[in-house]
Amino acid sequence: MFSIITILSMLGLVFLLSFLYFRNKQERDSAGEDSADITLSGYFSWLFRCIPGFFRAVWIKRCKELFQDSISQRYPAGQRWIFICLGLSFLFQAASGFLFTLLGTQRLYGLSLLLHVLGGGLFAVSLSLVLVLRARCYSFDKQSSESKKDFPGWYQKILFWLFVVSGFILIVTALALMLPFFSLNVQQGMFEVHRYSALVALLSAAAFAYFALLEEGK
Amino acid sequence: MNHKKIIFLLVTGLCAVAILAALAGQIIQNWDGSQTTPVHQIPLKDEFDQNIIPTESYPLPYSTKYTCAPCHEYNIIQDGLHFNAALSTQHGRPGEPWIWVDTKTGTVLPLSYRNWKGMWDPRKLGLTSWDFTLLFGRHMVGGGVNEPGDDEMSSESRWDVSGKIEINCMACHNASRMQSHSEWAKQVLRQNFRWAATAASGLGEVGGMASRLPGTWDIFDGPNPDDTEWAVVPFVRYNSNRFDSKNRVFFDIAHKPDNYRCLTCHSVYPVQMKKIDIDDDVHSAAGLKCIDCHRNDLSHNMIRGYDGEAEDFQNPGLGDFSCQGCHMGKDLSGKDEANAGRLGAPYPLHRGIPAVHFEKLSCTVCHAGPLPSNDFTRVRTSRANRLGIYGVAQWFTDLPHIIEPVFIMDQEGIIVPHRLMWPAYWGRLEGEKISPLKPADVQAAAEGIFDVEERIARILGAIFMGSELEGIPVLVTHGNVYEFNVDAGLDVSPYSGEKPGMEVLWAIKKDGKVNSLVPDFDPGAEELDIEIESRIQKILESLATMNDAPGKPILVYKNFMYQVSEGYLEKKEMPGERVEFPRWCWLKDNKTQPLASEFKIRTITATVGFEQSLTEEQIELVLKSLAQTENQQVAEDKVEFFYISGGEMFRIDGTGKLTADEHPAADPVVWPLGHQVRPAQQSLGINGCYDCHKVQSAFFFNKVEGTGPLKTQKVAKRSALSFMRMDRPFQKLFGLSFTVRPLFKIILFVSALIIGSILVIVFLTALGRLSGIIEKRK
Repeated sequence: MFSIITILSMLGLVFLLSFLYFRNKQERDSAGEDSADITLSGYFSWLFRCIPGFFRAVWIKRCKELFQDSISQRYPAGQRWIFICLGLSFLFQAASGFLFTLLGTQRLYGLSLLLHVLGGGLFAVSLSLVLVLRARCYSFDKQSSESKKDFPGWYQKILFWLFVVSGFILIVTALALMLPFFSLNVQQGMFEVHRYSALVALLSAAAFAYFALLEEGK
Repeated sequence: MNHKKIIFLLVTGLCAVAILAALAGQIIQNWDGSQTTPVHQIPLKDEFDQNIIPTESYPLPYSTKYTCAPCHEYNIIQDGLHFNAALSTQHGRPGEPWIWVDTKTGTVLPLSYRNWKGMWDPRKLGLTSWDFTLLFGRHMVGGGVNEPGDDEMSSESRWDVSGKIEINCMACHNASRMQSHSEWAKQVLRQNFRWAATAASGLGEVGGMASRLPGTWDIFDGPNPDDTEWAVVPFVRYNSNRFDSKNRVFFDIAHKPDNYRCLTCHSVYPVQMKKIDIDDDVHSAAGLKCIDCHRNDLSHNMIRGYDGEAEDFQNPGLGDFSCQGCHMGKDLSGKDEANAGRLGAPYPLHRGIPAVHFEKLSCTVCHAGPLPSNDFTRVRTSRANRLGIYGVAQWFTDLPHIIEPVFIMDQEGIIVPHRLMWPAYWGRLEGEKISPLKPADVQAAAEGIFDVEERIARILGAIFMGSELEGIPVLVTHGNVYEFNVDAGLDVSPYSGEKPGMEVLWAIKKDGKVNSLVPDFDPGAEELDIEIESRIQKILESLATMNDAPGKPILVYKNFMYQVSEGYLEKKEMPGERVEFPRWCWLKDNKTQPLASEFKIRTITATVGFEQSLTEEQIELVLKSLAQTENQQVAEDKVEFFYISGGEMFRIDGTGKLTADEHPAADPVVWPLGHQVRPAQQSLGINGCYDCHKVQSAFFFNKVEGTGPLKTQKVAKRSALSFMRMDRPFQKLFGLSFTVRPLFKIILFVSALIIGSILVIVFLTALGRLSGIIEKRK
């Protein structure tokens, strides 16, 4: 069940974000004109044309540029590493967790589990530091929208806090699963919560990245 | 009415009468719903279905088949678990094998009629029902192979003399403390098969021995008035107080057998533990009987209660009685709901134990058997080590060497604790085909190689019996003193006296002091001291009485030889090497050989006082002897003989040397253990993860070393992890990770605290703004 929900929600998010990107791109390209083709058939033909582009080396270059624009040039070295740690640990956690769920026949075990747990520690520390350093920027204060560069839009704020809340639940459930307080049934419930929190975190992180990297940079 | 109609009615009527008559003989008692057990005040019947009158001159033993049959269908019962091993096709999870132990040949061979891995089918070894009953009837309950059909009887069997062993209902259902397993074992070993149940139940006293009767005797011959000493025909003297005026007997029947009846054959105890320290299984301590879980109906197909039994036998109801089924309401797959909580089974919370443990481990890993320690726990079991038979003699055996708990991953990927033993046997290898040899066949082919200890004991015994010594004759060699014991073997103790002048000294032990068999004397003197002369003569005469004496006994000293000729001690000059100390020898074909050869001395030095009873030298000699029996086949490399011990297969290589290598046939034999179940407080993991997850964990990093009757350094070694199909480096790393876990938990906790605090602030701020509290303050 979880696998089905995961696959459907991921596909849904990919569709939503790519369609959003397509719509914005069409609107930008046909600025002032009435001929923008924002239909599903137009979207799929655009998507079909874009697919070869994913396999070109220019894609890697674009990612590097995005990284430099969004992280490298924007934050001091110390903060930069915290962001990198958060990103990498989250990517590893998501990859190890979801690949086992989607491809494997059993839960995480062995070395993967050990690394997943260790990665969880890094994720927890980096998330708490990011929150300490950046929470102010994502507060829903009216003054905070003064500088667009430092203070993102509402979508991003909501996604950021969604990610933080799901990350918090991930950390709490992981910690609780290690403590000798909970019965097997409670543990199994917490494991389910952990999985669904991970899914919410992944989806919110992906959407956040879209808005932060692609929409912001246009 | 015509003739045809009359004939038809007659035939129909006769058939109806015949059917009714047949049914009348079998009164089937259906349960009326009462939970009481009827009083069993019933007449005893013999094997010819005749009422037993105890005052008759030669009453026969009672037959369960006919005594119990009017109410209980014997034919249905005999398909039950305890009787159907040789006939059943569904065997379920492996159980304990019958282990054929023959210490003389070093045979420890696991047998089972059930098709379980590593266990040999007795039929394939040429063991008949008769052989099997003689070997293991002591701990069997009759029926099945103990009661073969007429077509299954082999020519060398003596069933007609001994009778068959019918199912001994009272072995389990007798609530009386008079039921004696020791008596049962004794009668079975005397081949008093048909009398065994009567003797064991205490209904009467059984005498005589069927084993001493000629093979032509049968029950119709009755007693033999001419022999009341040796070949006494078995007889029973019933305890007349047990019979009422109608010759009925009261059977104190337990519908649900008491635990001690089950434990007669199913006891297991750790060798190092004292009786006072052994606790009951937690279920027994809570007041449950074995039969409460291992229950059965008239079919006597006992529920074994293991996880997966419901699937094995396609009977969902069995799932109620597995650990998971009863305590958690789940079967092994976790899918089907079982009827949990029967008999008050508590639901375990298992606080803090990660779910993976319940997916990968059976309940018994943490809750049954001894806790894992650096050394595996050696146990003895009733059937393997002959426990529960009491008498003057020591019945229990050290072999087989069974250890537990060995954690093994089963076919379903679940880790289950097992008992483990290493097989040891002689065999014949023809291509890929392995055929174990019967101990008797090996012994016949290797005369004089196995019975070294007995031969030396016989020499000492002969000297003791005939020499009127003021002490016990002993053999002093290699710093030890060997003296014979009542079991026709040798006992060893360290020698603390002055170092003797020779390597092998035949001596007398008196008041703890050891002196030479004959005091020092001068053989060159004209006349010997009369006492010395008398002692030499008596010793030589007593040695000469030995049946297997390889020659004439003599005493050689300096250049003289003493022997007994026509009742007189004769002294002769002996040319050749001068012997500085008196040496007892055998003289054969004018050649002298020592009383005990160097081979025998080497062998007893290496084996007496040790659990191992064989040396590599013996193995080599026996294998060569066996090869000679099939010289041609061996020469053509078609056949090879081997001995298996300690997980290694020993063979003679092309150069004639003994080699050892691992072979699947030498693999250990294992079977899962279910009991003793420990309470939660004593379960594995009660002290936390460190019970198993640490760098030097006994659970993960123990090693099982091969054991067997052979004294050798060449034994197989298996890691505990190899049984669990796990990686050592990962488990080391995983164990190590537990040392930093407390720190890791603190880091997670602090992180969660920071994130949580900020989230609370954000939440409260939003709430304050929503309610206008924050705005108003501003």
